[in-house]
Amino acid sequence: MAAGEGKRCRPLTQTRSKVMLPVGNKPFMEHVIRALAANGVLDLYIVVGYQKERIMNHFEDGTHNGVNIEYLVQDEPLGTAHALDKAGEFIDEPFLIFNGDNLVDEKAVRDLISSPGENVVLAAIRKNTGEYGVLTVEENRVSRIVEKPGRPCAGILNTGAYKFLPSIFDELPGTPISERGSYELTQTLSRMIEDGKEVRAEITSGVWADAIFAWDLLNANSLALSLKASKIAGEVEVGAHVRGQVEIGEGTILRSGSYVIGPVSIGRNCDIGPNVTILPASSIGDSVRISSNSEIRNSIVMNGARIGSGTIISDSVIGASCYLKDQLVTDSGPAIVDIEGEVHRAEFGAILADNAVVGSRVLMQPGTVVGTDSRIGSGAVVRGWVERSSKVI
Amino acid sequence: MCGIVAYIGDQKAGPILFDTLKRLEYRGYDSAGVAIKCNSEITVLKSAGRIVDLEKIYLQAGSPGESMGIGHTRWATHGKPSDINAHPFTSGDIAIVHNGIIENYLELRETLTEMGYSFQSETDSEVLAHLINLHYKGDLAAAVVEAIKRVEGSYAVAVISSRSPYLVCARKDSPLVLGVGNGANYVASDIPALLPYTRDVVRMKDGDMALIYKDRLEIRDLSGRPHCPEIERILWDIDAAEKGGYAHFMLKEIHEQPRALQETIAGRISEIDGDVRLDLGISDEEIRSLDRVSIVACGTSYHAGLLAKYLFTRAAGLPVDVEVASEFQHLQLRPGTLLVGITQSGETADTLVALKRARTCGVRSLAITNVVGSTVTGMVGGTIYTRCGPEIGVAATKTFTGQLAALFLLAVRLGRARNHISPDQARKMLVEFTRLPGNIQSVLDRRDQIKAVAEKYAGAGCYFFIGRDFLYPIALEGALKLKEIAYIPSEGYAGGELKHGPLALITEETPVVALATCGRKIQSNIKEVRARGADVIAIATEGDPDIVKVASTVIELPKTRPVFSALLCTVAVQLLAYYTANCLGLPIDKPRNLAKCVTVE
Repeated sequence: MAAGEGKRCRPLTQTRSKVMLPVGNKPFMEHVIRALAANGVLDLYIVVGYQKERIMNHFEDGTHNGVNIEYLVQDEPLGTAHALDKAGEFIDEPFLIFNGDNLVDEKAVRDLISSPGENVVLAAIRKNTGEYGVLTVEENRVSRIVEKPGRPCAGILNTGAYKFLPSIFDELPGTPISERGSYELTQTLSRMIEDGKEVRAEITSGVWADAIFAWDLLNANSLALSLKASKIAGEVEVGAHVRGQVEIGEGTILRSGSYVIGPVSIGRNCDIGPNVTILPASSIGDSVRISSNSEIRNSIVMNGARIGSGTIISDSVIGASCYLKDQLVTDSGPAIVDIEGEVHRAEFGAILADNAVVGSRVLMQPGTVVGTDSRIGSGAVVRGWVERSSKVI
Repeated sequence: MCGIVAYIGDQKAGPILFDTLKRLEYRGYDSAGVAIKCNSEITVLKSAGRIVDLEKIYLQAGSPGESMGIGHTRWATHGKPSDINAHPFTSGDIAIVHNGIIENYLELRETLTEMGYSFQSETDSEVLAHLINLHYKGDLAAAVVEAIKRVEGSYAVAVISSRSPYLVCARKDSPLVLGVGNGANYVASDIPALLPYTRDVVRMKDGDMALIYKDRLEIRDLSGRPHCPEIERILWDIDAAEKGGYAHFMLKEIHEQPRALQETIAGRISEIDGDVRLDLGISDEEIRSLDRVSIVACGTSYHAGLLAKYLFTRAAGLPVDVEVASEFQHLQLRPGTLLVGITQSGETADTLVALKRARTCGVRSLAITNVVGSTVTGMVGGTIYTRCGPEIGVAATKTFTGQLAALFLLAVRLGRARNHISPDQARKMLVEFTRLPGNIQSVLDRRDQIKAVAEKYAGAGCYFFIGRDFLYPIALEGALKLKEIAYIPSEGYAGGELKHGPLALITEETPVVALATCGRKIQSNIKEVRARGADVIAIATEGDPDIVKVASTVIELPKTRPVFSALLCTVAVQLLAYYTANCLGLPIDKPRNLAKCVTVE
């Protein structure tokens, strides 16, 4: 499932859907696809809609990930049941459903595949299930699904991954329309449970993680990085130090005096240094330039970004093709972020969406969010939410 | 301009030949044919039209034949597309497929007719079939050698005979690749056609021939001296060439441009040095001693060359000539020139001929191409690869922007070597340049707006594109794209040239695309055409306050230097052409009468 935008991860999803947000230097969905491939699930149908071109450009027909991908287009956001219905004509054997925008590992997929039930929900136990569907489970059998209880409570949550028999397609037409005006699979399941059909919950001890808001990416990133092994394909100049789990892609040069402590992943064709410090847990995308005397910690820097000299980036996300001149400082700490009228507590530095241009000597206070294509003038002190294509002087 | 394939092994040859032919279809597609050995005879099937039509004929005939055969897909150069003019050609118990041009074919045809051979077709290739038959005395390889010795021109040829246990192929100036399989061997005009069967290939050298058995290869030169085949393992993937969810290869390739450009740039920019790393095979000393640059290219590549004219003059202070490669032979080459050939495929015959001349005149030469190991790379002193990945759509898109990027890098290198630009100027330009992939992505994100414009004007009978300075070549390219895939007669003009004639053609029904990201003079040109009632679609920098006052529609592009805005405008006109053709329901990836790679003069 990769058709939705993932609005709550705005502004990072203004130019791509959430499935394409990178954690551990790979889009969420690539982690899902690799976990599936590792379990021998090689024929995938991906339902795409919002910003589908980015998805298709990245995954093409699936060959680099060892799978075979067909794309199905869902033009309107009419929910997961509607999306699944698109695949009906292609499927005649038991199949799996995964969200493209969660992080899962091989074990989680294996748990779902090896579950003995016919209709299975992959479940996970979490301390806070507030934002998800919560399952009431009796001896592995789901007896009730409560959507988004809203308040923080511990429990068994629905990860949105399922195993079904093709007979599920007969159930879809009866799915009631939800309050959001869409057809959701959980509604289909609730109805099946009411009708006395067995829906099994498989509680996984594998990795399953989500990012609700853009700043949650940092946790998912850290988790994804911890799953990686060291691999240095690029050039590390004499006088540069690399410690811990560090991945450096082909064509990248890490110049003298730089210091990298893993877990860190650096993509291909980057030019880093001299004298750049990269601390855990950071992901640097492809073709990134980081100029001398900068420091990056616990952050994500996406493809094609350029970071000037003397810059300090901590607990932040820098979008693709951002252009940061010299001496930007992102100040990290607790912040209150207002998203479309809802107030959220968070702790991070700054989130910069794609193509932001930031002048020299800019200070970003904790919780700063900068929209796509924005321009921030030199010497500015920025806080709060900067809308898309704004100019800050 | 054609594609040839051959197979020898344990399986039925027919299905394998059709499959490989389909993968070559982009090289030409007006007729096709196969010859398959069948009960000690050769069965030949031909058809005007597509490979699928031929496949139907094959199935109707009861899927005849054994495990050895040759096939051909053709694009007419000599003779109309028809069943008769389709390859393979037979003579006695010999069948051949041929790609290339036999220059002395009229003369040979006369001689052979006098000797009693009768000709079925109007093509030059049939001559070759009869010549081989003439010399065939039980040794097919020897007969091919004798025949080839009498032929002037270019060829890639595959030959079978019902009496021979092996098949023979040979090449000169036309591409040919052998695939080494397990208990089977393959031949094709290019590598992607072979990849489903084998990743071990031998690229044949000019003037070589090969005897191909199902379990071995013998490669010889024309004097009969054998040499060892150099087997190369192909690591890249054919699937990169598949559509991956897009409706057309062209749309996919347009969208691949940010990434393709990253690849073109990767490892070549050194911001710290303010210089570009390119392996040109020319020392800085020699660059300083150059008097001028001549660029030869065809089609879209020629437009890339035109942009380089502006680039090289400004960055390196060198006078530049840009010539259409097919006209170059009529012009004079001066000493002290650097000759740059631009060819996507590296096989463009006209460009190859021009570069060959450079070699005989002793001037320095460079090639810009997308295909590693292509013929052009063997003819020049240095090659800059655009690294865009295979391009399947006949209309060049990502390889054009790749060429522009490569030319920009070359301009900076020449400018730095000649000290025409300072390291700091170069550094600033290069920093801005590295932002281009992101800017191109922003243009792609505006596809819906461009689509709406394209659909509004899709019914136009004629389109004009105008641009000045760096954007003049892009105006030509925009017009070419619209001609190629949307079949709309279009003209590209320098903005200032409009009033010297073409203005007479502009009416209320003529949409004019004005490329307006580079300088303000274009605005008066826009006013000129607006005064004639034409709608003007301006492609301009975002936030430009004046353009909205003069144009009817504005497509806004991200702000960058004028020279780089040429690449952004390119993407916009590509999308415009694509959505226009798509709205008209045309076969975008295979426009009529066109082939991807033009290997004849």
